[in-house]
Amino acid sequence: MIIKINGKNIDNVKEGETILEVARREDIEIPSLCSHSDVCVRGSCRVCVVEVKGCKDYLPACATEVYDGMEVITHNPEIQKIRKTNLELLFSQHKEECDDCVWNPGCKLLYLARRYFVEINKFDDRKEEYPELSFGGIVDFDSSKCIDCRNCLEVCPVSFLEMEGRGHLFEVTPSKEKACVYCGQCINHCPAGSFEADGEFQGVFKPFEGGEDKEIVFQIAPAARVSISEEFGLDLGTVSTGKLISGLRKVGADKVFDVSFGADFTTHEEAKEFLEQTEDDLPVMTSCCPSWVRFVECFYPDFIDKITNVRSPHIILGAVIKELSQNPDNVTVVSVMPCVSKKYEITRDELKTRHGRPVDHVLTVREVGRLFRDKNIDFLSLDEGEFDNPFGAASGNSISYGASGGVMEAALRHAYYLKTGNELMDENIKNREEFSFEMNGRKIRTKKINGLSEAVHLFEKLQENPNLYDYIEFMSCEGGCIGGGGQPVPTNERIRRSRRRGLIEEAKSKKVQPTHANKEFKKIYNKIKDKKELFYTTYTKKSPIEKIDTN
Amino acid sequence: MDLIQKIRDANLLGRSGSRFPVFEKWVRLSEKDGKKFLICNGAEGEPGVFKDKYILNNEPEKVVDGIEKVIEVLDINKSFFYLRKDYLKLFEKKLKNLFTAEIAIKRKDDRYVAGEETSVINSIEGNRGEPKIKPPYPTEQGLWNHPTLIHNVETFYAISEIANDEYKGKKFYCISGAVKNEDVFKLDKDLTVRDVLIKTENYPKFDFLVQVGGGLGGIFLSSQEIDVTCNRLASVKVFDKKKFDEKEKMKSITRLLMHGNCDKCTPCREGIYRINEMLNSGYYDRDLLEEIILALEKSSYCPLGKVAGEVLNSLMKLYDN
Repeated sequence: MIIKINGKNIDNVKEGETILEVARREDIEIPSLCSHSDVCVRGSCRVCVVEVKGCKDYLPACATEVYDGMEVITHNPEIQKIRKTNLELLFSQHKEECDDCVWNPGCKLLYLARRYFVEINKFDDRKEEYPELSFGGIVDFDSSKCIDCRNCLEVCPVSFLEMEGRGHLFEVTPSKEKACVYCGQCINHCPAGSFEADGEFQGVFKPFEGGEDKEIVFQIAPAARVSISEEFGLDLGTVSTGKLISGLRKVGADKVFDVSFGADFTTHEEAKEFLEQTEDDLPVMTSCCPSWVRFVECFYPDFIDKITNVRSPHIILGAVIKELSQNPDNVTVVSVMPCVSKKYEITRDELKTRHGRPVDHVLTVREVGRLFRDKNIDFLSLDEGEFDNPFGAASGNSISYGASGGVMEAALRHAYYLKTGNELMDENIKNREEFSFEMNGRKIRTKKINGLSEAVHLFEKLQENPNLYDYIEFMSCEGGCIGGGGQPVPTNERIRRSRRRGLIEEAKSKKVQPTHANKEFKKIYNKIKDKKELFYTTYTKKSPIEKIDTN
Repeated sequence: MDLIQKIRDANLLGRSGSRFPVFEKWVRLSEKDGKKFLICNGAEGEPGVFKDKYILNNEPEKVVDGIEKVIEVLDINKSFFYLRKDYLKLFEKKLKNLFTAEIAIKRKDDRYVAGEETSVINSIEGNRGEPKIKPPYPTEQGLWNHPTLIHNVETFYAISEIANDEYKGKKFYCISGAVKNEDVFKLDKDLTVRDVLIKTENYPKFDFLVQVGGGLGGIFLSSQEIDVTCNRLASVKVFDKKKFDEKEKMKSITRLLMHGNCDKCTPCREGIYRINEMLNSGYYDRDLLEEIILALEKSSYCPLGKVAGEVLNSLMKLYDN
């Protein structure tokens, strides 16, 4: 198929592609706001309208599929004028709060404002008096910034966000009958920065406010070390572990450890637990994703018993750090996470040990980006730092936790080794949604889920037949933690792929691959006396209705 | 001669105001295999338009006959009769007694936009009655993604006439406003506005202007511009020019549109709001009005916003003069 854009012939155009997709591929600029690879075409902002020869009206490039012989004009004076008007109208409902926004720097609205000579304050803010809401103290929604594109409604995995009539308007509002699971996908998919995590960004200095004599210990999640590169304009997929470590030291970290080292604990305990399960206990469901755990506690409490009681890696490592410290009360543990929900996880009272909360603060990747910028850290010229000992030498398998399937893969490989004394050589486990293998004559059937709507379908199946799988990994976000709600904006399909690529590269670079071969891990593991207290937790049924506060 | 051929020969255009050739919709549907749906749209949400009500009151059997003929000819699996709330009360019983095929009656969503065809589909599916992106057109993917034929009440009436060889190229005109005979009239389909007023003995003796095509979607014309056919909904409302205030009219139309639209796209949600706000606060910025009207006309999501742009444009021009 051939189409023409601005007089230029473009062949190799495929049926089903939209004008916007073709233009992006060909590096032809068409401005867009509400279109996103994760949501179905919305066509609501009307900024991407283009001229198609033979059509009276301008058509949205995001929603218009190409046909053979189509002739498209992306810019003419009238289109420019319409885009300007529509942008001015969008700004009229968007309260600018640019200093405290997840899109700063890199805001598309502001970029387009410059590009189309938009008068940002042409109209009074229609939403000036609109409320700022807090969902459970974890996710904030500033409704005065919302531009009504409705992307958040589609990515919200539990339909907590919905449209409600307000006077003559339909608007995004939180449900009064549901709970939020704090996955933060609304944050990555809002083009206007209406959503943010709690503490974003006023809270980025909090970890350092404990006083001079505090020992500040950072730990870095696997999926954070690739995406941090995006905050500083490096190529997608660049691994920046070393620079991230150096940067954290510069801003005041006394020690920097690897959350993946904690993942070796999780792997080991989960494997052990799995091997002890009877048939009635199956399937085992993973517990690393706090949004997923909350989802079960709020909406499917009947499945609580199926979730492994082993704690997530950063919670275990936080507790181990404090346990082995000379002066645990003096240690502040800060986790750098691709996740918003981890901010919620650390507040769970079930996780407290004799030294209090295992982790004191969670900073998202976005927040670390902001912290470095505020502290004038020149990220690109930082040295390649290394993790501190003794919690720095993680196994490669535990790095894979950062992408969907990684948690289960590590646990099952380890279980296989514990049971048979051999390595599980099958590589298929990595890539398949569903996979089974033999272990001492027993068939182990696995499934990985990313996205909670998929989980709902699976639960329906499991309610009919509980004996479908032996092991199921659940991640709330698309692609696992690489697509987490604490990751930089934008996050989309292409960016998630590149983060996954970087993560695999990082995992391969580790000296030791399987957990059982990690001698450093074994040494520390044997030092911990009260394993039950530090490595295990419990879950309870929770209210399926969210606590919403007006800030 | 089969009905499809008759419809083609009659060159019947849809009577919802869109004037889309009925035959073309039928051809698209007849090419499809599998499940097919039919909707008779009795939303009639346009202020000043009451022809569907008139038809359902006087000759509902013809509408039902049209629907049932189509069900047979196009091999329809399931049919729906979509009616606004007050019509439901008036006609539900009567219609049910006339049905011989299985036809489900559905209540219209309250918003004005819910009469637009893709909104009707959303509404019947149990969603909010707001438009869907076209393409795909309903004849490709309509109700629950199955090919769906959707016609207005009057279109089915005309189909029945054609099927029974009674069709004489007439349609229904609604005349209202500052006239003697406010009523529905069945007249030749291609009359000019002037002829309609003359034939119905409603031609004003005073200086006047008209709105053609409905109270919200109708274009305003001065008395010098009425030698045109009613190319949308056949409705003419007459205004006494001396008593007519363009700005007040813009104000009331934008207020109704604000309550009647779906708030999905920027120009319609925000643009109409800003025009209304401007007029309410007593100033008149013609440049701003023109900018927003352009965005409405050329970049709105659905016909509601586009038509709103044209209507406001016609008022702006009247005011200019």
